[in-house]
Amino acid sequence: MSRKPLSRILLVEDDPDVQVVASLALSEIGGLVVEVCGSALEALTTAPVFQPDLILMDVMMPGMDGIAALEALRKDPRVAATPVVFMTARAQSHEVARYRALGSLGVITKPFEPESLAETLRGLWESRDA
Amino acid sequence: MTAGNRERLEALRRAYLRDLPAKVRAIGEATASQEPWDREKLESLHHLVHRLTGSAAIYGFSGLSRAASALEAVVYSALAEAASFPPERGPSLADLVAALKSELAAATASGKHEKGDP
Repeated sequence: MSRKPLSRILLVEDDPDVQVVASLALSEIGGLVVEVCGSALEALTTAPVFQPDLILMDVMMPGMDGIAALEALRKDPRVAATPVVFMTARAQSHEVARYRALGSLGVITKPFEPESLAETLRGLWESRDA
Repeated sequence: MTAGNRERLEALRRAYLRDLPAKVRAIGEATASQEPWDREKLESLHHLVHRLTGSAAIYGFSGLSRAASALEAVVYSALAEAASFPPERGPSLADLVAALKSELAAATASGKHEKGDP
């Protein structure tokens, strides 16, 4: 059965230095369509409009963090089913298990490799319901 | 990866390296504060250090990231576990910031070397 290929990514990351390299990694290197949000609150309003295939979101952000944002996204029927992948430097096994229990599709550990970030996301995308 | 994308990544790395002294300076100034440490100040410091920990590693400055991570762990303990701040045990705040500055010097030197400077 052929699946829809991964195409549209909403990147949610508060650090401009990480935004710019992740954006390059996903769009120029990875060939994906990328929309960037600098905060979780911005993502809550952008996601229903942009309609991403997948949301790549930092965990630790000032104000609303990634966990709270995931909970809020799950309550919005327009994006409730959109897969969320977390990015975090705090990726101890119990934390990764917690993120998965909350409904994330996967966790990408910082630092990520710009060369392979898009392929990693494609692998997670293909693994859905596998 | 194409040569063009490799060059774009390298250009981002050079720009990041140019901005690094200001990031480390901001952390040094924040830790030098003589005012009492309340939650708001700790959160502000944690924000600065957390960003540096993550971004330095992504741009390939692993030593700087590790030094930032050591400082971040101390600030995080104060926030999450109400540990004392500045820390009463382990490396002092001054030592942690000195390590950060030392790694900044190393990163800057390596960046200059890569660009062909002596």
